[in-house]
Amino acid sequence: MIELQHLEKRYGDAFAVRDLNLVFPAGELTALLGPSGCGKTTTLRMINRLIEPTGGRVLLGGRDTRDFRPEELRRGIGYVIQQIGLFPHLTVAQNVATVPELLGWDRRRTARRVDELLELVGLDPALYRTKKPAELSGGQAQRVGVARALAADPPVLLMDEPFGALDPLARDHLQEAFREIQRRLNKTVVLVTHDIDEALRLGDRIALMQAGSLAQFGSPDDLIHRPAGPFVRQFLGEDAALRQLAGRIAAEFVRPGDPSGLPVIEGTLDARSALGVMLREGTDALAVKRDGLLLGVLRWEDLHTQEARA
Amino acid sequence: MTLRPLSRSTRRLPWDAIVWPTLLLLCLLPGVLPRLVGPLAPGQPLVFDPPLWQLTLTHLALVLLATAVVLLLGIPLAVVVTRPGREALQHLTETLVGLGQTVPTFAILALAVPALGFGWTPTLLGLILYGLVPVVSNGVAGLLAVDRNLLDAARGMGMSNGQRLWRVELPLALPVLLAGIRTSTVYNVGTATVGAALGAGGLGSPIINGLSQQNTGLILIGAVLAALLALSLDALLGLVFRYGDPVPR
Repeated sequence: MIELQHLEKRYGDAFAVRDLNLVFPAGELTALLGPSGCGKTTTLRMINRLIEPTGGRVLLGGRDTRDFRPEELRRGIGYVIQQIGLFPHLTVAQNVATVPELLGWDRRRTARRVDELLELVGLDPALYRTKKPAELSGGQAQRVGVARALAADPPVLLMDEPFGALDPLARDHLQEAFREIQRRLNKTVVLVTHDIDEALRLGDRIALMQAGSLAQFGSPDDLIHRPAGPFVRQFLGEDAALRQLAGRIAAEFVRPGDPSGLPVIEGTLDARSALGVMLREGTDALAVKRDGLLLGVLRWEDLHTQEARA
Repeated sequence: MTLRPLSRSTRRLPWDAIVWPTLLLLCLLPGVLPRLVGPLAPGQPLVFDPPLWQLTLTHLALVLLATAVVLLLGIPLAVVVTRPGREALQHLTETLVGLGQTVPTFAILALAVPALGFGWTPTLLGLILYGLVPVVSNGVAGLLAVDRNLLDAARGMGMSNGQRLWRVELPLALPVLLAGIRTSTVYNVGTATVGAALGAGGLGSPIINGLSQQNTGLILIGAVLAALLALSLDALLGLVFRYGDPVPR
């Protein structure tokens, strides 16, 4: 668990972050969302003390981060940046092994861990271990970046726009892969993003920031259905509910029912597109199948009241 | 799509690293150079005391000693002035080091003699001041060219300042730094001939003697050997440094 108490960063008279109080729950992914210049990256960097706060404090598992040496603190926190930051002179394996080496792990343990992590992020160790970063695509490089951040199995992961530099297709794939990884590892993740879709898709919770302060903290549903003010509503946009549907698949909403006569869709279709099919077909229910088998029925009101089922 | 680094077999064969040192050694065999140069300077005696190989070794020792000191001074200097918050110091250093190159070597040597006397000491001083320029400026350029995002990632993963320098900055700055070292060494082979005027010996001796005796043959021999030594060092350092580039290109 990460706790920010009255956290403040000011440069001269200007506040980058002002009296920020926030608890990032353990084992959950919190998206730190907001427009550029709202202080989200500054906040992230104050957690691992890449930026020293001018006021307040950060508690990590109940301990003030100032009790640690900065290097020691950072070795215990995974860190992923947008520009990926792989060391071009080192192989993929050496990159992933960075923190274990700093921690003085023995060679065999490090090598085993590297292979384990490459497999976790979906890269065949035998194929990728000895490659240099210049030989990787953007998506592959950021997979390595994620593996590197997870190398020493830190309980906390800080990610600064990790998928921002990727093309939309690679971003989709990597977000999905990362969601899968997070489902298995349950790290306490803080993910800085300005991309609402990414926040809705990946965040268990969203902390929306505005001008150095917290505008709203809550689940995606909270922000969409109970916005704390005009800024939140405006920032998320009128189509926020649709955006949220885009991040989920039809099969998640299926209930048993009589599918006869209904238009048929694939269960892997995203829920927003399913809604589109309903509008096109002029119906409020669809038959959902997967692998040729009928799963059941998707109803308009289930999409509408998805919050209750989430 | 993947980019593969050039495999060693497709790399150019290092002909220059074979040809120039071989030619140099051939020219050092007793009697070879005088016989080649003799017809160009008829009637002039081509006698050497000490022998040519010894002059060449003295010359090489002078250059290598100067280069060693240049590395010991230049690399730490480049590191110190590129630490964050030292921009002013960095500009000052680059200006001062640049001065070393704009002031003629001969002037440096002439100024050094009254203070340090004749011989190796003033010659080394001149070579060091002159040789520092490419090492410091390339060192600074190489270190500054390291992507700031890499340094941020390194810091974020818990590297200390020293670890960041040794594991990230220096390896990445190495190719540019090595190019500077190569330039510095090769320049100084030429510059060191001036040392003979100060009694430091080396391949400048036949040139100086040739000038005072109006003996073209002597001048040619000194010049040819100095040039071959410079080409040999350049080729050999190039060969060594080619494997020092850590990033596949």
